[in-house]
Amino acid sequence: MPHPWLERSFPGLRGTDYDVTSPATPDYNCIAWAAADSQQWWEPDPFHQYFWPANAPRSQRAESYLAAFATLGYEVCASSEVEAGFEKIALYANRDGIPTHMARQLHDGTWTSKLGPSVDIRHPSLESLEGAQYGRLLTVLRRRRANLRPLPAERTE
Amino acid sequence: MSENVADCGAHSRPQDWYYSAGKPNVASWTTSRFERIRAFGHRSRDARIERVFRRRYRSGATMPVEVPDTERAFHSLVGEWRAETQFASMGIQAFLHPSYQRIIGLGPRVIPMILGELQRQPEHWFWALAALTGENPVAPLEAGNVRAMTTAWLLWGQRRGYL
Repeated sequence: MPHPWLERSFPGLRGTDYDVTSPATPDYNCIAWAAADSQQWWEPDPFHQYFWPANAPRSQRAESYLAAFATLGYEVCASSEVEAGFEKIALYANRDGIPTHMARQLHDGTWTSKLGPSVDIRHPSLESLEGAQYGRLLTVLRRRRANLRPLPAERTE
Repeated sequence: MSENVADCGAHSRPQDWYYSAGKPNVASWTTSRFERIRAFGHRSRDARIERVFRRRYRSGATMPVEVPDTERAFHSLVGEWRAETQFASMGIQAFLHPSYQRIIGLGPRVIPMILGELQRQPEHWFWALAALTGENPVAPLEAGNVRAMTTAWLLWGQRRGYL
């Protein structure tokens, strides 16, 4: 079912097979959702108001995000295609290379995204969220499913 | 320019005394007005206002002619902020949004309004509250837990008499 209020901000969703999969909530964001965490908002804020993995730097640079997800076993990979034995996440960035969004691949090759404090959606491709809101796909990360690690219990403080 | 500036009956609005057309520049008008009052030596209501102003604002300041309706401004900015950041995935995009920054710029008088918003629904007001108060009542282990952060700030507001 189309959602015009979403398609106005994400015109790439128009005509695609996407779904809204959760109600809106400010409890977690796309970064947390990429890490399969729906309990807290991940943010590399300099004031330590929000959660961020302990060993990752707190800055808006893409390197901070790569370091944060390296603590979960993710590394940069070349393809966004489904690979047996791996789970993948994607990082979007604006034209300055500043991260704007993250998405996580589902088993069937589609992607799941938390849209800020709004809803979760399942979308068929990474391209469908590219545009003015989130910029373009910057990179894709993957980790072996056998290497799944629990969420970091250690905090930054 | 007539000496009877302050009692001019030809224009309905004070701004029109000095600006015949276009959008009035209230700040400039205020400054000009006092300069003219001084020059003409008025003993009018405006002169009394000037004396009050001079006592309150010792030097160099421009008298605030209109007291802004803070609450109306706050809710207007909140609406803009919510509408324009509803899909902002990174909090920093929402916290640096001009409307959010202008809310912080309204000063400590918006603290009870922000806490009122938090009472209605959890939302990302923590950056603004920390900026306005210089405090952070959220325990380190609760950083990022929006529900716990909300509770911590509401308890802080109760302790400080805001709620």
